[in-house]
Amino acid sequence: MNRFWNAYRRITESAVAARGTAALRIGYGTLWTLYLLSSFNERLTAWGPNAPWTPAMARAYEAQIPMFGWIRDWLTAVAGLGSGAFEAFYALAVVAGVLFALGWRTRISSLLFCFVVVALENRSPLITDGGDNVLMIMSLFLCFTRCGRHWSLDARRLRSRPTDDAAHDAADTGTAEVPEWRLELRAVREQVANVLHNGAVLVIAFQVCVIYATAGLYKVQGSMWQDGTAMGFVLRLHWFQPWPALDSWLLAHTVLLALAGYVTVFVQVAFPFAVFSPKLKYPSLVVLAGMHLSIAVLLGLPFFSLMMLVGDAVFLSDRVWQAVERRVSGPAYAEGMAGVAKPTLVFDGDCGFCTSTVHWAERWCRPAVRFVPWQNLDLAAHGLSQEAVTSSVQWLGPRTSVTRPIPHGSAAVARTLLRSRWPFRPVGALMLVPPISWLAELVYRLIAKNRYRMPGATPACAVPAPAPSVPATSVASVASATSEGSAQGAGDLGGGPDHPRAGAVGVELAEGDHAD
Amino acid sequence: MTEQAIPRRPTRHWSRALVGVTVLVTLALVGCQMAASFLYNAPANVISKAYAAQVSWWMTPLQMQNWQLFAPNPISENVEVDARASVGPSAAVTSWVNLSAIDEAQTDGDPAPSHLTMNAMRNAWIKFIQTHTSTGIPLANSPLAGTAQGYLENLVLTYLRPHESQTIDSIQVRFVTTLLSGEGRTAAQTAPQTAMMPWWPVTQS
Repeated sequence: MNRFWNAYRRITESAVAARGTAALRIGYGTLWTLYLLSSFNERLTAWGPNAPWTPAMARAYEAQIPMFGWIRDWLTAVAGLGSGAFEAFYALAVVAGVLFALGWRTRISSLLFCFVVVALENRSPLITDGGDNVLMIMSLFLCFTRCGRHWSLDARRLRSRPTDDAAHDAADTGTAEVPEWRLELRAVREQVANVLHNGAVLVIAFQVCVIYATAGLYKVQGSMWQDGTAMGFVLRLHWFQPWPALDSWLLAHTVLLALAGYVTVFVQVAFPFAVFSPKLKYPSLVVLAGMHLSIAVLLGLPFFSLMMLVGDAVFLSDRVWQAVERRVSGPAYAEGMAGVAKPTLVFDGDCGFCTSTVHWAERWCRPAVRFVPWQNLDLAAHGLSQEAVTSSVQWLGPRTSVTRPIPHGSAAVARTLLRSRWPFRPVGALMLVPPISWLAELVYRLIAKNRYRMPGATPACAVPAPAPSVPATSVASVASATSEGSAQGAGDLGGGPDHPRAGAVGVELAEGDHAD
Repeated sequence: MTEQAIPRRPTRHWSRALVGVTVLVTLALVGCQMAASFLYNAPANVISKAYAAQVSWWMTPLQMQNWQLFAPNPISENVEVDARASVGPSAAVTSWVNLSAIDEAQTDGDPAPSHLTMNAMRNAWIKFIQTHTSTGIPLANSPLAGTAQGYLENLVLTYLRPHESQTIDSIQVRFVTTLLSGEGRTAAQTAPQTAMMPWWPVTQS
């Protein structure tokens, strides 16, 4: 009896896979938006009033299937539109995708998303593939979930609002402004929402299992999958052949193809059982992800593969998603660096592009790094030369000794990224490994050379001067020099003049610029 | 975190009953959904045949789906769709245009080919041969034969029109099917087979 009530509480008081469904929302909303944008040039041929699948055909096709009148109206909604109305609908469909991905008023936007997806996909059922099919079904199920509780505009709004707990406390102490019946109603709404959400999550998970299980069960019956030749036929189909050279290379490896076929069938059939064991679930998901990526590339079906991959995300537990969450938005490296002196990245404060890049990095990468324009720095004290700081960014780490060369350029950028929050850290690590590091340096030099031609914010010392030792007057003079002399600055190619802002040198370089 | 804190449980009889009923209804619906979804997708069996009407009522049209992807056996033939047109006042007949080659050229080397090039012609061909004989006569028991032919016609015209300056009066389509070579398949079997469709007049819009 106790177990029963525990289960009942779980169903009514918690929302399982709340982050998993949020991942589905973001994934499907984004994929839909990208799909519509990438199809923009052929939208009229695909779904417009003059599409090969004419409105009359769409109606005749739907008339063959028995269904409720309102569903029929929904499926043929786009078929009745004139060209102006169709364009408006297309715009609405894009907006719906964006709003859904962002989680704006998720209850409303999920309904809107479901409406536009089903309406547009059914306008031309004969250009769809499995990916569209998955999307339609999932958009339907997601309407019942609380997929907006995390990583959404809704979640942000709720965070910034005084919490419901305050109202609670008020109610408990008898000073309630909110009438009791409204609190009761809110509690009921909360639980009903949880119940629907949990049911929908079960249905979504079951749907994914059914896809894999039936795909596997049907393959088991096929003689070509049994004797391992199936893949050898699939890769020779002209319908699905974006990379013929790759296909012919693979076709030479018959053992590999047979093995891949067998692994696919085994994992697909076993998937509904594997999800109950973490030891089997994650390896299965990895194999399936590999399968989808292969389908995406080899058969030219990236949208189908991505739709399936997004669906698989529902099986990642909230614990896994929370770990991802911590990695992405957490205090990152800064925490580990507490107490240790922050390294410094010295950049060119005269360059608008550099300045806005620094602003961008501070906003998005949040590195545990100080950014200092060289104009605000006593160069000699740090072992830097004017030539060095005008040609590339310099890295002043805590361990930089006199004997070791100071990392600069792409190596300094890489070190900054290494100290940033999660998604940027591996990028930084990669940028330090040859041959990627060589390529990165090449790109860095190209950008550094042309940095004054790049767009950017108001240049120079818009970044607050961190060094108190710098006299205020010199900062002011740097600022004024910049505001007056942007033309001179344009000549500062970072080629290493001793005094780039000295008029004569600036003019000279500017002429050199023209000569190029 | 606030999300973990349970805000409040319903305390009154009516509200707790409401939640309880919601749980029961949801469980029933989820059970039906799971049963219907499985029976709809799994290979036909005694149970799915017995409840075919109920399953179809539950699943169509919003949840129609088919996951027999390259199964039981993958298609093992390449199909080339060719078309030619009779144009202008003299009814001159153009040479055959390989429409599949146009799609393949578009797809070649494209990491994200469009739905139109990837799916439109393939599905049009599948729908057509499902509803017609190999000589292009509509099957008696297929109400969608006319629709399938009309769609193929319209689609073929979207390929031909950009290359044709004169008015197209009628078109002819042929399917060249080549069985892929494999164990136990003779050279005679893997030779291209051509299925010629009749001329279809084009309704000028």
